[in-house]
Amino acid sequence: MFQSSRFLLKAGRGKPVAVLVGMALIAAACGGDSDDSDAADAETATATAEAPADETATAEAEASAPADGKSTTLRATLPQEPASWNYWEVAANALRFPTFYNVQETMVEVTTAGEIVPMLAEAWTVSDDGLTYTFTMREAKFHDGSDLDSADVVYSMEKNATSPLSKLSAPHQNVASVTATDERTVEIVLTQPSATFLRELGNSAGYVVPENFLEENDANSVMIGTGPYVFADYKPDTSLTFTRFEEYWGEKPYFEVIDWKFVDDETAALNGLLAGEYDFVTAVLAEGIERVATFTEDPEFKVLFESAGEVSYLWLNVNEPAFQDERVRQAIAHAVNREEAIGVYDGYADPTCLMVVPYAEPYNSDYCPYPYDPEKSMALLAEAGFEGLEIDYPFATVASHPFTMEVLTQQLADVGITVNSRGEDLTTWLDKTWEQGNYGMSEIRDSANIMQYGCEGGREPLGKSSTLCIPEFEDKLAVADSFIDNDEYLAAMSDLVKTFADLAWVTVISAPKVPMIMSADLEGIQEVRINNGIDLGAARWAD
Amino acid sequence: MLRHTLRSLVTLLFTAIVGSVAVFVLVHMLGGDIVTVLLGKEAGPGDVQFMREELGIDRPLVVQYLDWLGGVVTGDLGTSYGMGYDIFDEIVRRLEPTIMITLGGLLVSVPLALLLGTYSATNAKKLRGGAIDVVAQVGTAVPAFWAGLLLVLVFGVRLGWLPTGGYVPLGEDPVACLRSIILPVLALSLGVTAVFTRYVRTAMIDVLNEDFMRAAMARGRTRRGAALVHGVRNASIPLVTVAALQFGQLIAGAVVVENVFVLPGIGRLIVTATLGREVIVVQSLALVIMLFILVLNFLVDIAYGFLDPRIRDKADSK
Repeated sequence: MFQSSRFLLKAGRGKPVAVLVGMALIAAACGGDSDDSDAADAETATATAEAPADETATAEAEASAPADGKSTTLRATLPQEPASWNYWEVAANALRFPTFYNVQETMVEVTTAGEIVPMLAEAWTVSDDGLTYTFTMREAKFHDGSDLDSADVVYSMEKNATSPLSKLSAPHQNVASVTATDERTVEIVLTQPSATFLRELGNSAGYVVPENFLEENDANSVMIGTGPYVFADYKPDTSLTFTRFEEYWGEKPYFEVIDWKFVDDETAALNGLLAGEYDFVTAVLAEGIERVATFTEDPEFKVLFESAGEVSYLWLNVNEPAFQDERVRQAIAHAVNREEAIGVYDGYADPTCLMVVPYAEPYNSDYCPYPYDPEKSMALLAEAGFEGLEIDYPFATVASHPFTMEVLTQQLADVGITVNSRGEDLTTWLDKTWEQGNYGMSEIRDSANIMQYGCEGGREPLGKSSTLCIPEFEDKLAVADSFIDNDEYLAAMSDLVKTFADLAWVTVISAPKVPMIMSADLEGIQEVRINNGIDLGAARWAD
Repeated sequence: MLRHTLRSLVTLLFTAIVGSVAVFVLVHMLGGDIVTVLLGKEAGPGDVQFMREELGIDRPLVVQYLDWLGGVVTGDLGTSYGMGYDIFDEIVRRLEPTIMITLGGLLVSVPLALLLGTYSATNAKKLRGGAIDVVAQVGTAVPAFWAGLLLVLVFGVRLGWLPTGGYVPLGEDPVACLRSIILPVLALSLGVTAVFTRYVRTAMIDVLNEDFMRAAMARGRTRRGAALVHGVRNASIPLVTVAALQFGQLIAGAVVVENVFVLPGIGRLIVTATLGREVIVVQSLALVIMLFILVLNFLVDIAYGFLDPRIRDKADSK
């Protein structure tokens, strides 16, 4: 006993670390020479083996070997995870991002060029008065094996109309009836013409699911659509697995399995990419921005910049007495230096003054009524009698918002405005700032539709903070959507967004681009996302 | 002894209930609820109220709490608002990675601390003994997340020996499981080892000056031999207390480490459930963790009664 203990003490001198390193070496060696792709394949095979949704597709995915030696599993990270997968009641982009286009499809598709093309509706006609839309549905199957028919469309449209989410329900507010005229034909009648109705059917409002899907399934953890991938397996906080849908109506995608991992820590995601554990980091939104430049210089990786999805803007509380004077609002707008503010995104953003989302809309322009001019800002404040103005500024402590807060606080301080900033976690911010209106000003980055800023614009206002109710704006908002002629519609929208900028309740700062970092030989990833969905239908390894 | 045990048990239950009330109140003070999370900015006021009614979170807080507590008493922790999973099942599913890294942390920390602490104490007046103490002091100041990041960069990214994150269940692939927990265990155990080492060192220095140690050496034991045979055993008794207390710290550290290494354990669930305002998930988790730590302390209390008759006698005499 004594001898062995003595030996242990002697051996312990400098040895523990060596023992631990030794453990690491043994474990690393035990891993054998299987590459990471194989490991991922094994993991996903295990995951998909548990999936009840599509056992046939799973078996095929497991059985098929990569023809060219490359893995047919794409390993990608997701920065966020939704609270539920119920598309009907969850607003999070985290839900739409992986599932839109891949799992769920819509009536029509809006292309990156802004064109409306067939998706589940292979053809349609619009009556001369712009009130009646007649859709002919294509032959397609749902992931549960059932055929798509007009009854599914009627059910889906009626369900979407009653969703608590304005993105799903608002476009259906002017719908008088949805009727299945035969097995593949659906007629939708509106109460008044709408320039955006058809386009909205290419967004969440046009989701099509099997009849009675919400009543017969646990929509919190199951998703059934017609897309090229089956929602096969979901492990909370861990992974989401899609398997290729072999009965997809369109061209089958290259990858048999999409192995999504939820990695909210960008440092961890980028480290995993460097270590070869992932092929694709789908979005870099916060602290990882600083590392993007190193990936652009590395030939093993490729960086694409997703654009056109969102704009960053600060907006003012419509109930604050100081902001009723338009000179104060204009002074704040003049104080914002957009060129400096995009430094938050390491320059991966375009400065802009208009609330136009998607950013590529044809009615966008370089119109900017209140460019950066600190002298004019100070003069306006003095003229309005609001020198020494103090503003309460709660900000969400996620993504780029804390960094933007620092920049804006300094810029406003430069013109004599004191900003009292306070950080709130996203849910608290949504509750106290967005819902309860406890703020002077705040900043947000999202794809908010300008239509949602009116109180009489035919849409449900987003929150107390965003209800402008200004006649000049309301009048234009009310008529913009009613033009059937596209040129008239574009002219009206151009006028509307300029009016919105003139009012200065909202100061749009920039259209940030989201870096997506991937293996250099990954092709077919779109740089422009529509509706926050990432379409992996064309993704493949380079030959 | 029975009275001592009963008293400890009552204290345990009372503390657990007070703790769960505190967690319930604190989570509600954060602002926002699951409906805010689900509907985000796209909801109208009518829809928000409708969903709150559907989920039953529009009821008075006391009613909601008692409803949850009633479920707990009957063994039902409830279901999550968002994903709709059974909370008990989810906790069980998440236990494995958390147990692996916390127990792994203890298994690494305790023997290592005994070695280093004893060595440092027996060489307290020498440079090498002091050096271990200095390193241990630095170790107590190193945050687990920072240690984790460094380990990932060196062993995961630079050398490529070990995965940078993720967890493979033990039953699925024991080797891959071991590989996936090495770095988290190291990150988690670093600070704890440092604390234990300092504690063992102090306890051992005290023990070395005891009369029975001098007696052992007078009977021919060397100083090191006496330390090993009599010292370690005596210094280990209070270490049990510290280890039990440090287990709470290990779980707190697991919250950080599980996020750095993207491990789907209890710690990560606490974070996501809190951010997602899954109030009953947070409450249930807090209750389970509290009960675990309280039971551990309860067992230590009981063990004291057996180990040290003076404590048992004192309790029985009251």
